[in-house]
Amino acid sequence: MVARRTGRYHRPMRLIPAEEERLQIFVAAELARRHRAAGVPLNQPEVVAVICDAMLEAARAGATYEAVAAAGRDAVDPAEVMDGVRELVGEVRLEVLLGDGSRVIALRDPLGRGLPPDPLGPGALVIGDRREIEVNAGREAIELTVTSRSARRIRVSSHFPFHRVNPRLDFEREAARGFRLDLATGAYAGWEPGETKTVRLVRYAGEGGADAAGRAGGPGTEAGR
Amino acid sequence: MTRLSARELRLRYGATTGDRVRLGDTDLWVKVADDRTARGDEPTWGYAKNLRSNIAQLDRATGPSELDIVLAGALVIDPVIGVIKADIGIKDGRIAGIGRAGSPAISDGIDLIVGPNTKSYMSYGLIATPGAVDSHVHTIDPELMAPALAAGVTTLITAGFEEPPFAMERVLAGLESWPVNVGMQAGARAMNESHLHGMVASGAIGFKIHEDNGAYPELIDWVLSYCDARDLSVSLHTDGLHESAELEDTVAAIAGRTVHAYHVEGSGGGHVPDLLGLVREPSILCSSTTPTLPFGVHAAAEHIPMTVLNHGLSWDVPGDLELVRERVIPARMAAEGPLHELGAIGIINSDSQGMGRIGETVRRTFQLAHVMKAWRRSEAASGVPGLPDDPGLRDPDDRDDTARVLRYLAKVTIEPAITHGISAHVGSLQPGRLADIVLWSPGFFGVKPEWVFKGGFPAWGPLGDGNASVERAEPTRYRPDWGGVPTAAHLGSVTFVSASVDMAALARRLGTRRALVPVSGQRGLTRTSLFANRATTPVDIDVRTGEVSVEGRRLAVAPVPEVPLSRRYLLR
Repeated sequence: MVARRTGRYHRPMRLIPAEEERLQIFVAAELARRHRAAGVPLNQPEVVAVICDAMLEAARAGATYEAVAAAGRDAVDPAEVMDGVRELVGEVRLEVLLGDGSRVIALRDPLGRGLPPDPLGPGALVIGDRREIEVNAGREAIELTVTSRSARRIRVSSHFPFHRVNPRLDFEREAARGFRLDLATGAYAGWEPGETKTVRLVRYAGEGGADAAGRAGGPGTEAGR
Repeated sequence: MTRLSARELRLRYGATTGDRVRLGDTDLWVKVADDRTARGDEPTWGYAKNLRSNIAQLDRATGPSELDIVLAGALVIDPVIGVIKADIGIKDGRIAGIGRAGSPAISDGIDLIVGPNTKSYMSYGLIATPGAVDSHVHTIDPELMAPALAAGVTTLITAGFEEPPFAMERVLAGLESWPVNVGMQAGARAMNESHLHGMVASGAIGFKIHEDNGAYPELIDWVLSYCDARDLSVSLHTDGLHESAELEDTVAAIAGRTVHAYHVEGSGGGHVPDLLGLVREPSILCSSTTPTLPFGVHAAAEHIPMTVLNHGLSWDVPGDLELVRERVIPARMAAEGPLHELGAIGIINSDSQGMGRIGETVRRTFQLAHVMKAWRRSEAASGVPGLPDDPGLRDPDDRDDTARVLRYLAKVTIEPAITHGISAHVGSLQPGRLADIVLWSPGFFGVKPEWVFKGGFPAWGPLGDGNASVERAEPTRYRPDWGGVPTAAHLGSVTFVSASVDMAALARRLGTRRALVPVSGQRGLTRTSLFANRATTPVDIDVRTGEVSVEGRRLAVAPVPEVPLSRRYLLR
């Protein structure tokens, strides 16, 4: 039998995938910097590579989270970039190794410099009808005054069946049966401890609202408890 | 009452009816015709969102009507459906519907039920197109697969050189681990029934006739007779040498039968210089390949080495270069784009690794749509008869190229799907089709997809740092997603075969785990069987110069120095 000799004296680099990926960013950034030095305006992947490389370098040198993000934002001068590329670099998402370990950074619009994007740039959306939208138009609505008896902040999302919300919210619960908050999908209302506010509710559309669905056993229903 | 500003509505849920979206950095804009999503009840997932137990998810909906997958709020750009905002429902790997997803308990008009067994993908702000069908693929080596998938190609129709059965079986075995559909056209090299029988039994959906293997009139006639009797396709690369036949002889041999004519284009191969004359024949479905789309200022130069390297020629053997130079005719290249604009050439395909680039089929299609839009506005296009009405050219804001975009999208989706008898399965996102869906961020449309769904599951995409705490941290690179890893790819992909074959026997012989799906309706097609590129154009061609004209009007677009969907996006 031959024993494989793996390491009594041998101390290889042992690159893990994240280390190999760092090299890929470095090579892309170095290529981009060569282009930039030749006066060639940078394109989308070149910009992202240079920004990522600058953040990794700053992190390697011991910078703080904020300083690393700043290094990323300063890495590319918008004047050195092809037109339209700023609109294509909406966000740069990268993990860097700081003093306390791996941290994720998401730079929003790193070439923006506070200026508005080109409204007709690559991938632009031009709104057809600029009027405001009434999101729950035509649905039966009621208003209820709701007081929080909780010591904590409570938030309720648009579509939660309102008569089943946290029992520490004090209001005429039966009146809310079949209703939800009059909000856009994914929006929410909040109550600070002790706060009282009046909210507008709309009746669910469909076959009778979450009550109908709830009979199978949802949160707060008899079957679900 | 809750009101949202027009801007906030789009930030939350993406484009809606009447909005315009610019495709990448092209001059092409689409206009949203309809919004089928549930206004006020849009399904959204996450913290404080509504895709939760018994809200936008119907908990009791465990049954046949419940979706497996929903892509919520995508902007569908489909050659048949048009441009609409909708939720895409997927069941058993196929499109269940393009409509309104959620729970009928809380929303009106729900036709796509989200239940506890439905996985959701938030697609607000993204464009969804059908995966591209590349109908001229030489499976030269497996390196072509990753570029194809990274460009949104999900179906390959091969173009000969896969045969004989010994080779076909090995390539099919290799394809087993890739998330693509495949239909093989084997080379027809002899007027010998057992030769063709063997290839059909090994999975061929049709045959390719190629001059390098012999494209003689009697072979064309014989193969067409064989295929007409068996619903097999015939694709044809004609006799460029004029050794056995000139254009008229080839047309006479075809004799009004359906043929998919390859290389009806600037310089791919076949009758020199007048192959483009095939656009006159209603039974000939014409395609052209990527190198001359759009016609660029360096197209002629690259065709010298490309032709030498692809056709067994030599730089040093006397006479070889002369053959090549004869094939490279700029006047012919200049006519290719206008013939696409007319709809007389209906299909764009790659000719991968055999004079074309598989990762550029989609990109070049929209580059061409962009270039031809400018041509339509130029003096060169004025008075050309038969050009399709393009309402976008009259749009006062110059932001509605919907008809143009759909016409060109059809060239890489529904038109090749119809041509190869697979339009019940691919080429569109209509219900019942395989859920081969490419999601694009609008700024990257046509060049770099966000996600490629194969058979209803993510199969390819720009995936990032695997150790990261979030998805898609840099460096992002196109890689297989779970639906694309080798042991899962067969679940979402099919192999198209002839309906005449014994499926069970073939499956056993190939040892395949993929579904074998019979093709249907490859024979009897004419130009008007296609969806959006149906023109038969009475061109005149000067056989000395290759110049093409219609009713005395020259068809020519000037070569372009610069194309969109290119340098802004590609690290080179």
